[in-house]
Amino acid sequence: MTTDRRSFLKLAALTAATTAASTAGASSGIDPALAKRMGPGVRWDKAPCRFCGTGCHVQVGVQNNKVVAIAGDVHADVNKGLLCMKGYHVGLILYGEDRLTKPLLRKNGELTPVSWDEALDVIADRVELDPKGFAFYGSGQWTIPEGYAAQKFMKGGIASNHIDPNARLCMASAVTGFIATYGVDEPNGCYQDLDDCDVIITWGNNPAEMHPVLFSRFMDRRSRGEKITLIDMSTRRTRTSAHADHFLRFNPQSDLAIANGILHLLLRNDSWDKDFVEKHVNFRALEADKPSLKGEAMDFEAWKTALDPYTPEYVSEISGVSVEDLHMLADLFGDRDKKITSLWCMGANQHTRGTAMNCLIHGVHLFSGHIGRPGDNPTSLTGQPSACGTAREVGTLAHALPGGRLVAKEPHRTQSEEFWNVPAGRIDPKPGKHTVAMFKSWSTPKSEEGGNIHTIWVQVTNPGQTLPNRNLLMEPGVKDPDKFLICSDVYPTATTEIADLVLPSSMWVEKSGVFGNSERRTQQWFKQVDPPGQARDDCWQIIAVAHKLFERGFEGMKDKDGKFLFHMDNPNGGTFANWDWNRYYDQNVDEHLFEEYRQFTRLKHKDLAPYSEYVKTRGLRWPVVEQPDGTWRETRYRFAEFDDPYVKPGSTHDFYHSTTGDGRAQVWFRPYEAPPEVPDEEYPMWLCTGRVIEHWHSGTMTGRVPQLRGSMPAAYCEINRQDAANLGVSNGDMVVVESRRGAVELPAWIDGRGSPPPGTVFVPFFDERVKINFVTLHEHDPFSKQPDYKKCAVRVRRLEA
Amino acid sequence: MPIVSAVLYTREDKRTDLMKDLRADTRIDVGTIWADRVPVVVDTPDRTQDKAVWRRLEHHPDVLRVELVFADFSDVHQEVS
Repeated sequence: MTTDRRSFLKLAALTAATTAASTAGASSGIDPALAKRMGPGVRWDKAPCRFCGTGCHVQVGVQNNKVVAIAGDVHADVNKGLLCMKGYHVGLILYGEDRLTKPLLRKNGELTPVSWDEALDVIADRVELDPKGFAFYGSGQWTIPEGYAAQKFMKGGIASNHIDPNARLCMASAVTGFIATYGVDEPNGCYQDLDDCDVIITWGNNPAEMHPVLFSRFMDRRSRGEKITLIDMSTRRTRTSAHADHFLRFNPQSDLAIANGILHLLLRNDSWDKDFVEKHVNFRALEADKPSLKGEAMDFEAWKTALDPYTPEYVSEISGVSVEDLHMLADLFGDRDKKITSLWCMGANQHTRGTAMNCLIHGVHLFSGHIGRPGDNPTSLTGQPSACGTAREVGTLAHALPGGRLVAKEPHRTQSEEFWNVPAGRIDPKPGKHTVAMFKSWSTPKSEEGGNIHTIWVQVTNPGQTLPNRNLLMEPGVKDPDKFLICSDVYPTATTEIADLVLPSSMWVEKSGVFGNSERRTQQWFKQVDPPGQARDDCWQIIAVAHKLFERGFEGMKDKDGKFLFHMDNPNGGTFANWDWNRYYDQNVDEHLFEEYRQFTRLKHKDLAPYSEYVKTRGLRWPVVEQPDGTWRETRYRFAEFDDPYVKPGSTHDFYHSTTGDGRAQVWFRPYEAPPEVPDEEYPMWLCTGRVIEHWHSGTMTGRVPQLRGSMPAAYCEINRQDAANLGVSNGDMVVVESRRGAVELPAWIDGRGSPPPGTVFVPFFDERVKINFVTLHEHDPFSKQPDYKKCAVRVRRLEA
Repeated sequence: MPIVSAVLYTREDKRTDLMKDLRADTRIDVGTIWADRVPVVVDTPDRTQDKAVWRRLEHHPDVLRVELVFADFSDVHQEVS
């Protein structure tokens, strides 16, 4: 680094500190002398990308209070300087023409501007109406401090557990799979696996479109001439399949049979890892009377017998995968010299047997000993930037408390009440309603049984577009005058369209934040530009409502000492008015909340470092453990002695949160079971829904970026050429896709970007003009409560002009 | 080579010793002081020294609280320019 550059950096650092000091006090504005010396130009800072769960690091250039440039960070371990087409355009998501800038209250059917004060009063009124009927629906896009504040507001303040994130629709089955297998959530490996593996297996996963930066690691290795095998298992050909050495198309739901078939062949070929299994594995099955994630012991002989039926021939018949390919998979897992990384995401999770499927993928790796070495791990991916950090780790799920705790466990409630300094017994021991149940209750009249949810506050998500079977879960609530919907968002959406109260929110670098990505990496950023108009941070909205209630004498918003639930000290004594927007950035509220939350993280060895460590780094993977010299060390590989400080010395592998308390992971028997709805004479085709590379989830943000909207302007129905011919459909013809629940109209794309097999259509869900979730199924996994968006029965017909 | 800046929260009437200590350390630059807040930037040759300086500041009797504001991302400028 040159002296000039170093001087520049020092100046920038000092300017930032001086600005922070000045805006924290009564004076405002940058030191004029320093500003002059800095000269005009762009100020650069870091932030994780706003979109998917990969957690790419972005360099954000700001000039005149506006994001003017975006670059990939070459020193970021996650993305090594790369961004995907969405990431390169992430700055533009702030500048759509129709940003929400004022609170809006529905009066006489019209959304009408109101003051923030009135909006906060309306929410406080709804809480006081019946606190137990007030629910919160959040997301894996909440920052960690936001999710933590919402969690504390609901479970520690209102004493209601009716809070759930949209992550319930996205990765809940991954959570239950990890807990059932290892006793603790989240992957043991990390992205480095992609650099070290010999084989990648994608289980119903399309990383070429959904996690393109991770997929580029594979492409990069291949382009350098490295031998790396890609096996893509999917129900339709995708962009990932195009690069695969082996494409194994399977029938919907038959992934369960394939995994059991691999285990069957490992047994038959005597190629399983006996040493690993003997030392580190138990066998498990569901209890017959009351099935749970703990299950009951199954002896090895019984487990073997249960797998007897899963011969290659039987599995081939169910799945459509050839006997040869099933042998190929089993032979790979039987080869200990090969390092295998399995990737999965929505295909295995959005599944009425999602927990089972997750357990089986882990089971195949454990039984074959392909776990715990760099490159040799089962790795689930997430779709949202902080599904792991916020939804899973902060635990904004209806049954959870922060740091892997459960509301049903008395010691967990007691500890949480102590951390929050609220009276004993404040936290309700009964789990709240999960997403589907929450909206079902909201859509059930108050007078009827189960209709007690009267209000839902939605933040950072768009259930109007993404909930399955919307006619069942939303429409009755929209029409019921007793029901009330509050929506905090940045743009008009399918949810704000039906909401009774709309709150304009800050987004991404308009606020400070912390995200946690798919590889346990916690990443921090600072606010870099102001939000437009009256838009305000989601976290502030929560604290401000809490303070309204506190002012009204609502007991739940007081701690044991009578102080405000979100009380924060001023450094010089007295109370920091964190509920006053004009004072909100006087201190770092994120840091206060993060440090409080950090206390929760040690129980399950998800230890986080102090907030200040994340300011200095491009993220750290937990557990982050303080070293004797005062530095903080992250962990790349959990449960492996070479890297995880919590592994018992001399044990090589130690699953130290084992549900059986013996340091062993669980290999489950979970049978193949047919899906709840299959094509029949009336509805003869399968429908699969999903995403496309240009758009992120419901398209609220990417739809405002001209470059992305131009690349993929509208949803389509991807259809097989033969089916199209049979239906008399040509490319671009409008078709009706109809299920027992609803119908949509959209243009056909024959063998479009993907290529569905005969009898299957695919529709992406990003386009709010085509709400495909009127058609999808709300049936869900019994453990994770995650619905299946990947398969239901539909009929397709050409729309006559 | 870390460059880290922060705001030190102090009592306006009790920071003489702190100011003396800050000015005596060549690795530390002090910005324009606003009321009870002292902006500083610390430029050290390695993480160990960086850690030691911040630990000392955090435990200084005149410092009520340290709020980190900026950490060295020199490559950011380098990569983009």
